[in-house]
Amino acid sequence: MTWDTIVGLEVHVELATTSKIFCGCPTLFGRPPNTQCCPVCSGFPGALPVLNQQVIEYALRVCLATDCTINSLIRFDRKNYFYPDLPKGYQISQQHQPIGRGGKLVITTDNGDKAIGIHEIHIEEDAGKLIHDPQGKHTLVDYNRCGIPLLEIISRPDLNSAEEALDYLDKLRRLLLFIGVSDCRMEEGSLRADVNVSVRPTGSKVLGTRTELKNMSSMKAMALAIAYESRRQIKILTEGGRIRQETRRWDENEKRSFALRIKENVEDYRYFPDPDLMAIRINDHWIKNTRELLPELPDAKYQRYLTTLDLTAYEASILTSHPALADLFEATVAICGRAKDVAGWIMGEWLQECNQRACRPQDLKVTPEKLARLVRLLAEGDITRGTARQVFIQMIDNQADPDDYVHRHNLRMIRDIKTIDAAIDQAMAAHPRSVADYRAGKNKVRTFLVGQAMRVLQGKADPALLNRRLLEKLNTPD
Amino acid sequence: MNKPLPQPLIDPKQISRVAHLARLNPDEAERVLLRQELERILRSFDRLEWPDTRNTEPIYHPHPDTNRLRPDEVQSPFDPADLIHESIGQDGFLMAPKTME
Amino acid sequence: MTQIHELGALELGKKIADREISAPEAVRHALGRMDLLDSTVNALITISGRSAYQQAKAIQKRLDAGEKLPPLAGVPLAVQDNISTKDILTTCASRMLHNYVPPFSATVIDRLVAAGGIVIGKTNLGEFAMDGTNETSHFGPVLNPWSTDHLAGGSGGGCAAAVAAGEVWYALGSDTGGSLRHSCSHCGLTGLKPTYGSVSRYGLVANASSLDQIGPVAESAADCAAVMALIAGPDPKDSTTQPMEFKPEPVNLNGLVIGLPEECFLPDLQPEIGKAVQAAAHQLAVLGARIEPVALSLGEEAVAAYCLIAAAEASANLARFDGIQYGYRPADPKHDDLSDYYCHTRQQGFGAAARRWIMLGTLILSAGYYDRYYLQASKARRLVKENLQKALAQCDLLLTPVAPSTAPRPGAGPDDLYNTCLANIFTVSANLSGFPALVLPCGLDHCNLPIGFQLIGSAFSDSLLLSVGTAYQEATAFHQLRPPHVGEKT
Repeated sequence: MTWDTIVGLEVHVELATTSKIFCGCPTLFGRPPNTQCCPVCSGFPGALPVLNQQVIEYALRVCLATDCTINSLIRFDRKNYFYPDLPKGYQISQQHQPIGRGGKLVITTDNGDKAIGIHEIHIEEDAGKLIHDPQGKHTLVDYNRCGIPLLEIISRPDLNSAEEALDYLDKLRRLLLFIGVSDCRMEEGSLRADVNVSVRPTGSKVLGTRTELKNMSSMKAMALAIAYESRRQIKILTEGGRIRQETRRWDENEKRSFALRIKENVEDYRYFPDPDLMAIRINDHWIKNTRELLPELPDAKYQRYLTTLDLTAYEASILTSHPALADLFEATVAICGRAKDVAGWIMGEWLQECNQRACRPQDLKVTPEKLARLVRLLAEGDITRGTARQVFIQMIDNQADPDDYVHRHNLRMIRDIKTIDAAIDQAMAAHPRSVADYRAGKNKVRTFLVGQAMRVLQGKADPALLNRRLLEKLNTPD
Repeated sequence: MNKPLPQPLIDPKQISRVAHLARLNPDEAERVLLRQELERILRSFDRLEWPDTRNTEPIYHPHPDTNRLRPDEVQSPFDPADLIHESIGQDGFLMAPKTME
Repeated sequence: MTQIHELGALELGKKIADREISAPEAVRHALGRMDLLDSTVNALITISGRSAYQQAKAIQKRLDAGEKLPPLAGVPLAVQDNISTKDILTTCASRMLHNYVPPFSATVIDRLVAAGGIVIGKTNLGEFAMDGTNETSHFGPVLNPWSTDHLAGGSGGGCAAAVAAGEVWYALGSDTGGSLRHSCSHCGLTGLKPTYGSVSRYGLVANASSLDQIGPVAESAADCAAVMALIAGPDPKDSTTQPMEFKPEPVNLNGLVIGLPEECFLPDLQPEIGKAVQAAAHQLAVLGARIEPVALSLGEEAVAAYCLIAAAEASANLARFDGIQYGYRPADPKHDDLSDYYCHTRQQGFGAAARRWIMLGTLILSAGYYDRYYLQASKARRLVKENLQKALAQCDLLLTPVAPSTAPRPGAGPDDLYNTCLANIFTVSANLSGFPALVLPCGLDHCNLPIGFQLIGSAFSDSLLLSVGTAYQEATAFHQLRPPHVGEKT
């Protein structure tokens, strides 16, 4: 018997507002505990919430970008439960009249595009952070995160594998980044995905009992957790067992999940409209304005890069993975053209430098204007790739101007045959053994000799010319 | 208008369930009293002669206003010492009873 | 000669402005009255004498320097103990908050203090202002200055008793289902439940958020108007506040139509109250108003809807009291089980009446009950409001009794929640609809206990109500009656 895996995602994303959803506290990450709080977000008696307009604005963008139907009248409800990360004893959320329903997000599968349904998008406030001390008698509580605005984006169970879930989350992440509503950092928890998984015999129309997976802190962990859970369920069912409806916690170290609690009684959250907040009416005018402000979405960008800029699918995909890359790419191309060369540089040296420096693409302080000039110098053969790398480092570290730096340090490419020949002669004279080895059939030695000749000219020689001349000399016995 | 009432409206199990939801632990005597009292209120409510409200939109506020919003601006946070008084413990964290997932 | 405590708030304010009486002198006098009377009346939970005296000195300095301050500058006031006062204990008369000192003040307090108001004490109330009585206070009941065999009414009895006993010149209380109005009626005072949203609730420890409103308690409608002028108006910290113009002006009652709902005068009503209220209507007619009977059902439906909505909202509002951040903690906290810790804290921290409200609210919001009770009550709320609107389309104001009887004796009230709520039959409609309601004294019963009547207006007619109240009080003297020999040794 073959089995189908059914996956649905509940994604929580922190909105990138500067202040919290119901008070003026800042939303900075990584501050000392309980320093970004006020009576409102720490639930003091008598404190009242006042809604941040930007939250609605951002939520509208997400609804529009995912083709959701937007409710013309939305309300906030209290979700009542007790937990130390929830200082009011309820979370302000949306149950009865959420902002959006019935949207979709298109993912790419081996069989082509597939639309994944979005069941609902609603707004809520984040809870605080708890630190569980396994030895100690207490749990440590930090309210800094209380009241950070969240969107919960609930997909339909339309995904059929870990790969599809991964692509959905990646597409969603790109979308959210490009419309500027979140920084989507899974490692900081600003994007969190809970996953519902069930399996059923291929062809069956009945959904199996599902389990909910939590605590995956990266895309990779999510994929592993889904694959693990799907295998686990199939094994149980094949052996004649039954799946229990439960929440399971992914353990990153052991690469397996553990049952948390069995949902015997579904929790009774007693949702009711929050009397401290008035309803929000979203008229067509507001929707139209927001729609007009939406930037080009990543899918459209990707298509445009393929068709009008002639990039490969791989290049287009990398450049549309983050708005910082796409913006840099487009701004640079706008100055110097040469889309392929710019794409090559960004995907190569730029990202490599970011990697080495452990920083984000937008953190390298090189303007598109300077980058354009560097790409032009390289593409027009004025400098070698090695020189370009050297200049690029100077641009990053010392804000060097590429043309000026090349000029002052005399880095232009050497194309003069006499100079190059002299350098080759010098290298061959210094390494007679290598020359002999080559002539005895050891072709590999040539690379070494190219390097030695290059070194004589401080790496500035036209590599093609140098190669050609060296070959000629090696193949011409003295 | 309403479906027939369950008999009784509230059984002892319900009282335990609600007490747990509200995080109260009334003793047996209080449970008995609570059950009688809540039952009496719900029955009084059910006994009243309501007009047909199937098409009545509920209201949750005296006034029907909407869109009370504030701009996305940061105000300086409170001094944590002002806020968390005596419960503040280790390294600025608040101390809560041990929670288990 | 009139003693300082026999002056109205505006009168004292004028004498302070004219520097006939100094602000510190007023504070000393108030502290003296508290010393003399409060062990009997129990109107106050906390007396903030030292900070009041310092504030008074600061204000006096400004007055001495020739500065012109608002009309109530330097006049001491008392504040119900569910309204947050920075650095002053705010207990809500509950063990749960017996040690709670807020890190911020309510907007109304900020506004009054900015205008020179001096908070001198926090008044006693029923726990969390939840019941129609103040007997549920963790600090014991408030007795009525008119007769210490009787209660001051509730739940906010302390603020009315403090003013009636001459301990302060005015006070701020809250009104969720009639609390402020009942205690004013029982203590012979004037009090306004303003239009919902006209006074900020920021800093008012919520009982039922969509019903609660802060209002003034004073000797006269003119004093209440002076307080309203300082506290009313939108607050960016409270999304439910409304822009409202508050400008009470002298009003000519000629042509004013006052509706008298005949259903109010039911056999349950204490006969003396019926008579006094009819007499008040007659007095207003003498002043030029036209009294018209109106059809208005003030039936049990409104009380039932009120009871359920208030309980539902309160159950969530009181969830924050969990012993983790502030307030009561059990003596022997069991830290090994979270649920046990919560249950211990809340069972011990809340009184029996508060627990009863929480249980009711939790029940009707839970699965299987929500539609039948909470939703039905929210629909009934619309009907109550529409009925009141219809009645107010035929007249300018409605005139009703406040309470079915005068001040009750301790322990004499109904002991079940529903009947306790029924005592609010004349008052809850104003909370459900958000309309303003003014209580004015209009007589005494055979026990010499005060009787009040209520005027209800349309939304944002607060100015009109107070102007009509002032016109009535210019022609009558009920508001000037003083409790005899209160607490004074005879």
